[in-house]
Amino acid sequence: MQIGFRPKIVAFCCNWCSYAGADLAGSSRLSYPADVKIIRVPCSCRVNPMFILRAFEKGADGVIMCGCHPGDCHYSTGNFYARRRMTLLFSMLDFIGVENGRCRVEWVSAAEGAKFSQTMNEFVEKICSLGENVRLSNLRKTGSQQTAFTINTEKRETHRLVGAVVTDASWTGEGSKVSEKEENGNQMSVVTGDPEAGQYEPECGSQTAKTEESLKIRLAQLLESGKAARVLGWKKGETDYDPEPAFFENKDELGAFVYNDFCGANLSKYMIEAAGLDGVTAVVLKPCDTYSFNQLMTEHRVVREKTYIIGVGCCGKLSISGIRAQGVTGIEENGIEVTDDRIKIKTVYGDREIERNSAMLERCGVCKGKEHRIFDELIGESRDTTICAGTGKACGSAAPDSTVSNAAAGRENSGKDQRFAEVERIEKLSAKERFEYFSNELSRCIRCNACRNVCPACSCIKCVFDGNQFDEAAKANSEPFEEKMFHIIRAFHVAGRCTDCGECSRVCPQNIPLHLFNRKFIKDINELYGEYCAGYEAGSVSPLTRFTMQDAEPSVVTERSKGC
Amino acid sequence: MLKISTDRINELMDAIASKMDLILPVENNGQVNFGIYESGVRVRLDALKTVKSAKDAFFPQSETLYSCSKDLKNLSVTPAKLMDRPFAVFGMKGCDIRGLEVLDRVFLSDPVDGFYKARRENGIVIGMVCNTPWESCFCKAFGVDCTEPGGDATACVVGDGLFIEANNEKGKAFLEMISEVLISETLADNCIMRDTVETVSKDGTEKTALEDDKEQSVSKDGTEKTADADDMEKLRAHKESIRRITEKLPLMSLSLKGWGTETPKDRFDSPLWEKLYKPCLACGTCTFVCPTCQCYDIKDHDDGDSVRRYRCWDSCMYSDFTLMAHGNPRTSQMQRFRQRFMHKLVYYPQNNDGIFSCTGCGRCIDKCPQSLNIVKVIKAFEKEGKENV
Repeated sequence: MQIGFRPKIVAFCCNWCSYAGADLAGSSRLSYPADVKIIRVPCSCRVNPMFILRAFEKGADGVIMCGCHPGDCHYSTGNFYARRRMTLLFSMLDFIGVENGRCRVEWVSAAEGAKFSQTMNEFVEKICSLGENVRLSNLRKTGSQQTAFTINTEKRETHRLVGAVVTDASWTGEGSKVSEKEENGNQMSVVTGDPEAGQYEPECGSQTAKTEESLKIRLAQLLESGKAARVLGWKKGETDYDPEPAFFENKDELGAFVYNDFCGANLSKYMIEAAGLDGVTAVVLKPCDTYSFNQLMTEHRVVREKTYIIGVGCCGKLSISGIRAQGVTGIEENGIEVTDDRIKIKTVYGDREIERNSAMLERCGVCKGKEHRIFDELIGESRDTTICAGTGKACGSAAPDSTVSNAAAGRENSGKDQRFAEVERIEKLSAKERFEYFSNELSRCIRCNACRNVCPACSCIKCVFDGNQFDEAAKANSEPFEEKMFHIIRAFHVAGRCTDCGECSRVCPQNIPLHLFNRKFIKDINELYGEYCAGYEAGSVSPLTRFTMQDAEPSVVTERSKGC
Repeated sequence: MLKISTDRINELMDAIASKMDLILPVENNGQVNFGIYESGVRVRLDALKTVKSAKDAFFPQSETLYSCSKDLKNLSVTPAKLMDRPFAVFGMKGCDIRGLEVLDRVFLSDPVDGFYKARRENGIVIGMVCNTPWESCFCKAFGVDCTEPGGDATACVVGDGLFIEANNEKGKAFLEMISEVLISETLADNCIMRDTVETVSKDGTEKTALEDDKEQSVSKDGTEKTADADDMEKLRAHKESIRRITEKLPLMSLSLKGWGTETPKDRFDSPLWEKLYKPCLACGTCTFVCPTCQCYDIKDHDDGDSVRRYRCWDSCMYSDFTLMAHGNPRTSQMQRFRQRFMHKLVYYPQNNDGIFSCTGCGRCIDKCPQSLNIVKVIKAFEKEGKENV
């Protein structure tokens, strides 16, 4: 125990059991440390994850939540929900490297004055042994002074800076000289350069163009027949690689309709707006977009009757930043040609050719499947795009000679493994390393809120972060703590509802792997509450809005990490 | 002019950093942003575009204005310290430097912004010639020549040499200071001011020279002269080749006809805006990566026993932009979206001698989640104009 250190501890106590338990402890003359500051809440279920993070933000060294024993809740079931929430939140805090044990849940009844006092004594002791919450408070301290270039006013000790590297990347514009760049964060698991990759089912290079033609014809029919009042699709931009989502209201406008390998945007969220318009909206959805649509239907944010869904085939979408990350610049007008497994690019610095897989969106490498989960009709074929961990090979090519069913089974497994591979890698790091990893990644956050605004699950009319009630503006990156909290809370708010569509990571201007937060929640939910896939079917009940009597206690997080 | 071989850039950076804080493009997990030169950073002078512009160095995304604290009955107010030490920003491209000129007209005109002014006065801008302009670049349309970026000094990499040329007195003083450091360091043998020691010429690889002294050195050593003339020729040819590349890039020929002071009055009410804004997510990406966006908001941060007043960039894309006690004059995303482009292409030029507050850096093109951008807006109006005729 540190001498002289008195921890700041916040205890959220349920009005009906734990608060009465604390009273009993007092009237029974049982002591507990004065470091514990009790906040009375009507039910443990009232404790919002944000309360806990705000407590840490304002300087708490430990936060404990007490409620009625499961089954004894004054409101029957409140603490069952609280149990699931806290378990997931604690697991996330552990994931980003906040020391285990700084937060805790304990069930204390009104008759358990002795248990209350004992629990608080134990908890204070535990926090004292952990010491001051340095990791988080460091964030706060730097926060008060932080600007993008905080200039150190202390005298410079040395001006020979060891370890500063000027990279040897190409200085000139010759394309051929551009050496292979490191894979960047988002394409972490994608390895380029395997000539055998790309033994796919449908031929996608030519197929996408055919799909576009069929789509155009069909959409025009829908508009002309009056079956649809408008079409939601993608409009051709200045180049091949910048299509934008757009509404088309007549056949002439459809001339600009485009469907190509860069139509990554998930159109489901625009259907919220379309729900308020008169008439039927025909929308073009890729397989993964249909999950989001289903989820929005579950939440009553879109109207099925006013929607005509055309499920469109998808061969994995490409990201222009993924192409640029490989040193391709100066692309000529219409200079990109995508074939089955290669991308040929004409640039002013010479022609380049790269692996198709290497420029694919991260989410496509861990594709959920080719199947549209909801549709009125289908146009075009999809292909399996999952990429096997480590090899960079498309999983579809794993066993080219084996029977179709075997290959398919192989795909199933490898895709699934791959999806959580990065989360698992991080879980294996030490708490300090995890904290450093996320601090570094999130240090780039510029609070543009693109991740939130693009997210189909973030469908609140007014976001809690947009209020004026906080000291920090949602647009200011003035506090490193705030950025962390924003991303954790955002991921928490969509936990159980996130379909893992990967839009957050696609749009991040700083290429922060935001999908990792969502995947961590999905992984935890799968492990603790059974496999669940949001948006797999409309109307399913999210794991956070149901419970079982036998659910794991939040302490499972501590126990699990002990095992590591 | 100072010349140093590219494999010794570290030494040059160390020399600058020994005298002042140095801000330059650094990489963090694949993303290049301007950041401070310190041990362990990965410098990426070769990167063309940083994610954010260098605007942060002069107008940070968040900065404290003052803080108040209470001690019993006494309330003390401490204004934030103004920048009082020189610092260098190395490797700003032409578009970013034009962006500074745009900001200057806002923050340095009456009432002068003290925080910005202090940074501007203490900051030394070393521009850098773009070596590999991207397809999303369209600086030429706004009259920016990426081969003549300006700034206090201009750096250019040609082959294996890095040349730095001073553009004004501030730049000249900076170069002299850096040269001195390079001489006093172990580099003394091969990195010496031209006019001081004659023996330099024996080492043909590295040399520093002030242009003023060129004639003097020429008379002293004939071989130097040819090397120098060679270098100048190489530099000129290099810039010429970059200029030719910019001519080939698809967006460089963007026409701004019908914008600026000649904008038709009815453009504000054009029905086109309703169509253009539709895919906009109302995120702030375009405004935060922009080198010229200058709107900010002021907020208070309550630390419990003290209050810190800070300002942070605002974005016209956000619903609380220009939100006042009575409400918000802009009530729809279309109005906010229109504001951004009208400000860049109409209001600013009308108030500032026709100078556009877009510099053609193309960051919004690269970063918009839904591929909206200023070029699409300009072209949409151009197309509409043609159809109406």
